[in-house]
This record gives sequence, structure tokens and C-alpha cells, in this order.
Amino acid sequence: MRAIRLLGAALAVAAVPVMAQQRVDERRPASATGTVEISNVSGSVRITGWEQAEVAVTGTLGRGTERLDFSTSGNRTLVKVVLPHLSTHHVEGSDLEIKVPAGSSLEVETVSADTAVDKVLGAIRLESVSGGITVGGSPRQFDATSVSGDIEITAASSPGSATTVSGSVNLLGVAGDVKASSVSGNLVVKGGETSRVELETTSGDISFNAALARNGRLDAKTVSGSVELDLPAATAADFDVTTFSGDITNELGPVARRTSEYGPGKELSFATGGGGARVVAKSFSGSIRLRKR
Amino acid sequence: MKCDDVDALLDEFVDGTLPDGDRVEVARHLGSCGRCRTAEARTRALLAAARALPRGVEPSRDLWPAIAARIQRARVTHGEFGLARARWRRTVLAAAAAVAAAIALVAVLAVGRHKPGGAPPQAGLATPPGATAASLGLARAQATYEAARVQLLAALEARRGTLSPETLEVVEKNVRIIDRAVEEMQAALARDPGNRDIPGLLVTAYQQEIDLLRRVATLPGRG
Amino acid sequence: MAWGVPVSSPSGSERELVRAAQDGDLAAFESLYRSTVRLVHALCMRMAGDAARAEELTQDIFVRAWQKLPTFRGESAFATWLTRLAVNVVLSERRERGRRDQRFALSDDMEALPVSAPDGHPGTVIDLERAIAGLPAQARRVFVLHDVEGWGHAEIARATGLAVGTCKSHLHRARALLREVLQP
Repeated sequence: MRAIRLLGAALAVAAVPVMAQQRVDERRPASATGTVEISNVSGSVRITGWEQAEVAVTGTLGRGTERLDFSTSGNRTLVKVVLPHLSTHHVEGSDLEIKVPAGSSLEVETVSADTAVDKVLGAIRLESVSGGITVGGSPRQFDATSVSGDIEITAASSPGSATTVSGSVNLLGVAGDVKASSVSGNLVVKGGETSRVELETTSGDISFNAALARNGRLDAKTVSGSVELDLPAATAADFDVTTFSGDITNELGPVARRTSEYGPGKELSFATGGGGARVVAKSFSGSIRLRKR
Repeated sequence: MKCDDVDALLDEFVDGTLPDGDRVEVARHLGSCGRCRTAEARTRALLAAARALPRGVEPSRDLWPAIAARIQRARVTHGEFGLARARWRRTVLAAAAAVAAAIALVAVLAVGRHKPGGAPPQAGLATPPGATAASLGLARAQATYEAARVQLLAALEARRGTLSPETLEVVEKNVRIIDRAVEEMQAALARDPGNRDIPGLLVTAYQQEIDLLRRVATLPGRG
Repeated sequence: MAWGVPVSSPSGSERELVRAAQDGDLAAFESLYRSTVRLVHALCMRMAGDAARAEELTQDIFVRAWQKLPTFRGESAFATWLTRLAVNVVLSERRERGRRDQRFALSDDMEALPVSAPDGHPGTVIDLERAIAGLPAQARRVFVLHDVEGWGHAEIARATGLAVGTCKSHLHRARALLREVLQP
């Protein structure tokens, strides 16, 4: 007779693969500033911060799910949808609504499940392959990664980074230190006042339409994507724009000049409003446009 | 038939694809209309000139080396490595370790970036002083990148069966995008070795590709 | 079907090269490349209207041809199969670029053609290649496929995804513009 091991306070919701969809409604006490680790392969995950010192999980486990692991250990809480190793039937996604103490930090991993986080104040790390990632509220910092899922962060003043391979990245109303990187996805930064922004793509387009803090820095780099920077006319910044074979269009100041009469390269160095912030835009073959907002 | 009608049918007339009735009408109009006859003659002359264009045009340089290079790379991506699936975990861990070292090295050698403490300060090296030092650093970064890339592609190949076809397609397509970008930039740098902006973009591209492959190699299965 | 290129099965030695290349012999593929690159490059140049892109496209085409080689079963000459593949690559590259360039919203019809002879004198012969390169993009592609490569309207419609009627009007436009530019 094999001993059955219980991990910590683990309580399996279902001991055999779920043949039909099954509803979930469970809670565990949790530290006000602990870490919640969530894993769900497919379906959806919606995480909302609340005032209770508890993690509550509601929703439905998809057909074919083996079980939900929901356990706590110290100040870490684990919520994991467990799928059978070999599935002979199609396994359905699970849709989870998870409430966590507002001060929690999050570590979320999905494959194709979409993830949405709101009102969580700790540090959040979200990883997906093809699922979308949406973040609202004001986490202490965010770190979102996907392959083809789109990422949207609407976080008032949080620093962080968003990385995709082909998914798009939309950073709305961010401030502080943000970095976005994609190979072929488009990067869009909008609204807010940023102090340090780093945007990098290989072929994705980059679009920045926000304000720069007084000593802020904006770095936009691409190989063949287009770069469009829309800045308030009153921006005080030093600009350094170069392209190897693309075009440069400038509404904020002088026309770009050729770097040499033999090559296609163009460059542009100028200052507006007496300088202060720093804008660097580089492309290999993509076009770069500087526009007045 | 009026000139406008003939104008609309002229193409097919000259191509010989007009039905008989229309053809006769057009021919009759052409018999008495100098303007349309001129249009017909010019069209026939144009088509004769188009047919007389040289069948082939030599490119300005030999394109074979670049083509062969891409085919060789694609061979790795499309799995002529044949690693047994059972060994993938070891390969992935080894590759990940190698790459962690590689990335640190690349960041150190990268043109114009902050060096972590330890490298002896050299006068004027904060920005690349000239072609020599920068291109040496870049060459080493490139060698590191190429080595890491081959290992990671092999690891990716070994776990081909555990990733969804959609994910694989996205990965392969984007690896090709980066490869193409790297090739173009390397070619441009070869033609213009003193260029000071391409090295930075190249290193960014190397890092992006290594990051991509490393992440994919360690993705959860059944993606 | 193209003028000047025999519609026949590959010759003995071409068949052997193809088979060797299909088995992975890169040197055999290089021989096939050497004998067809000028053809492919001319097609790319004329369809794209741009020498630099023509060289890029030519490379893309041969890399793709290598990948797709297993699907070639000798039902036509190798050059014929390759030409078809080339046209597909050129047209789908244009579609990809078109999606990314959507921001700039230039419809093909808005691209300008330098209508008059360079120095304004009638009777000056303009290089036909340059004139073709100056055509609006869609008109240029249809013209090259129909009047240079000898494709029929149905084939062109299939390859470009345009309706046959649209192809015919692009051809009409191309011929009208070229007639203006070329003086006998």
C-alpha cells in the first residue's frame, strides 16, 4: 500500500481527472505581503487584489484537468492547475478568478491562458507563451514576458519590463523606468510622464507618445521597424538620431544630414528647449519620425 | 464603333483574344482612323520591345555565398541535427549555462555599454575610439553568439515534439527575422567598417536571438 | 508559360542535378543556381522595380527553392517551376511589406510615373526597363507577368489574388503609360 503524501496544507480538489467541468470555490489564509504563485496552462487567469488576508480561488476547472493544487507554505501560496502527464482526451482550459491580498507579489506562468492582473501592489512577474497579458493598478514593479501573446500594461507609476517575440506591447500611462523589447511585435508607449524608457525591436514598429521628465532618457532602437516619437513641443531635450539606410523626418527641429556622401546613412543631433532630457533613436533600415504632439 | 470603344478593346485585339464579331469591328475602325491606328502600332511596338527584353540580367554581385549561408543556418533550425529527445534536458541545461556565460561576455564586449568592474580602464574607450578596438570586441561577441546559437538551436530541435506547432512557427519565423537582420547589418558593416552605430545594433540583435532561443528552450512542454 | 523557356521535362543532366539537390547535395543546387539566377534576378528586378530589393528577393527565392525542392516532381522544366515560385515569393513579400507600411497609406495607384522623356523631346528612346520600373506597382507587376513573362490573365489573377477584370485594367493602364513614354 503506497503511503499518500500530503504536501504542507495541500488539499487536492479532485483526486482523479475531472471528466466534466468542475466549479472551484476555495480560500486559504495568506500573508498580507506574501507571494502568490499561479500556474495555468490554458484558459484564463484573472487576479485582483483585495483587503482580506486570504487568497480566494473561484472558477471552473476544464474537462480533463487532473486537479487543482492550492496550498500555502510560509508566506508563499501556490495555485496550480495540474494536467495529466499523458492525455488521451483533449484537455480543456480552466478559468480562474483569484483574489489575493493587495500587498502580494505575484509569479504567474501560463502557456496559452490569458492573464489579467489588477489592484495588486507587490512585484509582479508574468510569463506566457501565447496568452495575452494585461496589467492594471500600481504594482511596485512589473516584468511581463511572452512569445506571441500581446502585453498591455496600464500601470500608473510602475517601473518594469515587457518582452515578447511577436506579440505587441502597449504601455499606457507608465512612468518611471520601463523597458520593452520585441523581435517582430510592435511597441507602443502612450501617455504619462516617463523618466527612463528603453525600446528595442528587430522588425517591430516603435511608437512613443508621452512626455519626458526633465532629466529623462528615451532610447529607441530597431533594425528594420519604423520609429515614431511624438513629443510635446515644449520638450527640453538633446536628440541623437541615426539610421544606416532609413529615412529621418523631423518636425521638432533641423533636417537630418547624410553621414557621408558615399553611404546612405543619415544622422541628426540637435536640442530643443535648451536641452536636458536625452532622446536616442537608432535604426538600421527603419524610418524614424520625430513629431510634435 | 467609336474611338473610345476601340480603346477599351485594343488590348484584347492586339493579344488576339477578341471574339470574332468585335475583332472585325475593331479592324474596320482601324482601317479609317489614324489616331487609333497609331495607338495600335505603338502597342504592338511596345509588346515587341517587351518580348525582346533580355531573358536574364546578371546581379551586381555573386549572391551564392549569402544563399548558401542561409541554407546552412536553416538546416540547423529544421533539424538535421537529430538529437534524441531523451537527451534534451541535459542539452538544454548545458546550453543555458553556456549562454549565461555568453551573455555576460557579450555585454562586456558590447560597444559603448557599461562594463562591470574588472576591465582595465582604457583611455577614450567609453565611446569607441576607432575601428580597431571596437571591431575586435565585436568579432569576439559575434563568435560567442554564433557558438551559443548553434547549441541552443540544437536544444530547440531536440524538444521539437513538446512545443505546439504554432509556437514553433512563431519562433522559427522570428529567428529568421533576426538572422536576416544580422546578415544585413554584417554586410553593411563589411562595406563600411568604420560605422559606429551598427555594432551596437548588431549586439542587440545577438542578445535578442540568444534570449529568444534560451527562453524557448526552457518553455514548459505542450506549449 | 513563358516565351523562350521550353515547356518540357528537365533534361537528363538537369534531372540528375535536381535529384542530387533534393537529397541534400548543396553543390548540385549551386549548379542549378548558376544556370537560373539571371532569369530569376531579371524577373525580380522588373517586378519590384528596384535593383537592391531584386537582389534580396533573388536570395529569398533560392533559399525557398531549396526548402521546397522536395515538392518538385519534374512535371515541367526546373526553370518553369522556379519562375512560379519566384513570382509567389515576390508577391507575398509585397503583401507582408504592405501590411507594415499601412501607416503611410500610399495606395499603389498614387505612385507617380515620370511621364515624359527625360529631356522633354519627343522621339527620344527611353530604356524600357526604366520605364517599367517607373510604373505604379500593381500595373508593373501585371505588365511584367503578362507581357514579359507571357502569363495569361487567369494565372495572374490566381497568383496576385486580384479579380481578372482588375488585372486587365492594370494591364491597360501599364500599356497606356508605357506607350506615352516610349516613342517609336
